[in-house]
Amino acid sequence: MQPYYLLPFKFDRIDNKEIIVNEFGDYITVPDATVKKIVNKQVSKLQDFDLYADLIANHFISELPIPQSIDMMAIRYRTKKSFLDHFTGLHIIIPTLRCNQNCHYCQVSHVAKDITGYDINNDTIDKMLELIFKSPNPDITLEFQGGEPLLAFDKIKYTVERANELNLSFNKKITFVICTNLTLLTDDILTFCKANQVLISTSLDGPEQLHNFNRYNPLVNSYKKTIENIMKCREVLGSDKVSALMTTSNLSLKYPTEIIDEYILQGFNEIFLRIINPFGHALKNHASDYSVYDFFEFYKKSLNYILELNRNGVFFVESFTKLILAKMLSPFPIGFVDLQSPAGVINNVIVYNYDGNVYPSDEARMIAEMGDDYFQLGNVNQNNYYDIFYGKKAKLISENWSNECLAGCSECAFQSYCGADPIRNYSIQGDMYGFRPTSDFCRKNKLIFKHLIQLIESDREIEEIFNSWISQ
Amino acid sequence: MRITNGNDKIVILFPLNLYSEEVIFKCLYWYFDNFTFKVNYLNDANLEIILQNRDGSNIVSTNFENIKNKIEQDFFDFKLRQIISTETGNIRDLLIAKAFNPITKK
Repeated sequence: MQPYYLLPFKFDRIDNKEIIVNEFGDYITVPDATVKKIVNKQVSKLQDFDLYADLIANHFISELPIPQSIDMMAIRYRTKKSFLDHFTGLHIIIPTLRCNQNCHYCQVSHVAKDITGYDINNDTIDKMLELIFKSPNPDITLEFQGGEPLLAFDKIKYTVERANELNLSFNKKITFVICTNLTLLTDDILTFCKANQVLISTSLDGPEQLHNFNRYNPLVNSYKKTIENIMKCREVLGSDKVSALMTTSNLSLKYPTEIIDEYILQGFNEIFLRIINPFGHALKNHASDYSVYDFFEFYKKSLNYILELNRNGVFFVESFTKLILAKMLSPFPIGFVDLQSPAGVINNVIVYNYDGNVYPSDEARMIAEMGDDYFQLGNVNQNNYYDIFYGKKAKLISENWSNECLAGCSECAFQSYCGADPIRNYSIQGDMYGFRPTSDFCRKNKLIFKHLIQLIESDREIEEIFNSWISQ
Repeated sequence: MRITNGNDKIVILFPLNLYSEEVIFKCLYWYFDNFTFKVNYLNDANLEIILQNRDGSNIVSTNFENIKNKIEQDFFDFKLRQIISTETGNIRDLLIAKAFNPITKK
């Protein structure tokens, strides 16, 4: 028997097969009991040629103690972690906590639109921009969230204009995004967005009844206004400058196909099926009172329907699936902060609140708005860049942000597809380290990873559809 | 490994020459949500773990067979994982060291 040496890999079981995953995310599925055979050095180059060849080609075993391809493997590993190369790229800015809607699942804290004292001031904006431009990343995104950011459009305008001025010295690529319910859109705002290439991200939860139930506005028909203004934005800014996100509430679970049909009707070719985060109003109003398994059933039905559409010639993508597939089937990293290790918090995203307080993520800000300031990294008016990004709090978070070092994750076959979320662990389980056996984040992700692998293995056409999504 | 059912508990006897503590506790970690544990070092060679349902209910015979099969499979898998980890630890360290070695221009 040709002797061989094991290379690092992890494994799990799906149905009656085993899935083995190498250190940089390549996987193959093998029959039951194959891992035992591999580990016991019983795979024969002659008698198990196909399996042997697969294992060598995919870097699960080597014929030398140190494989000749070790440098190439190192490059593959480095490529997977290359999202760390440039540090914080996404800077979320909260220009106001005021909002004109009362979405029953609202995960952020917000105040009524006429209340004063909850808008960012220009001095804070200046200090915040000073910090943003200290980021070594040559490609930054300034994303305005809220509340409803258009209620403080003058602050957005000031920020964009100041950022463009400062960028004459820094020469970074800057992307501006406004996350808005669009009910307050005006022609002046559109003109400004066009001139400054500002992208629009809005919320569309589904058909009118569902959208209005989830996103109640006391003054207008929230759905009609949103649709009307999506069309306006497309006309002025271009279709590729407007995107929509949905949030899965309890009610949404009943309407998977209707939600997708609504997205198609409104001219979108992509949807992001997002599980609700248990913060803010979502917690109070029980909008997040469904289990991970309920969400998974909703996800499966939705994905099934989307695949059927693709089979029938309608190109439509599920974004979360596409992100995971990119991790599974391509050598490149993704920019989705929830599925990164080390975690995307601070490394890729940072949040500046209206009062100058800085948080590692939007969830951390939501926790602060619920009365727990544990994750506050500092304040732009009092602390410098190093205090905030490399300070004591950042270091504490960093001790829990690599899934390679967490119990339950360190041996997981899906480690390279998943991420670490110390903020969520703290919020739901009481500490940043977390406890994987009861983690909904872990459960949800594992269910979806396994489901996607089962789909790919079961149907060549599905694999082709998935490949078309990630090569888009 | 020997697994026996005692109405309200499952008793597992581990020979420590076959299952290291690392394997045992890494595997049992995944059962902590549903079970409580008592750990008894019987002697240098054997470790006894007693599992009881966290909600205090008895482990009925049909459940016991399912749990027993799953425990056996899981412990076997974690033993395989330990072998892989032990054998590939150095190459993994080398891989990561090479991956994050600063790139210098020649």
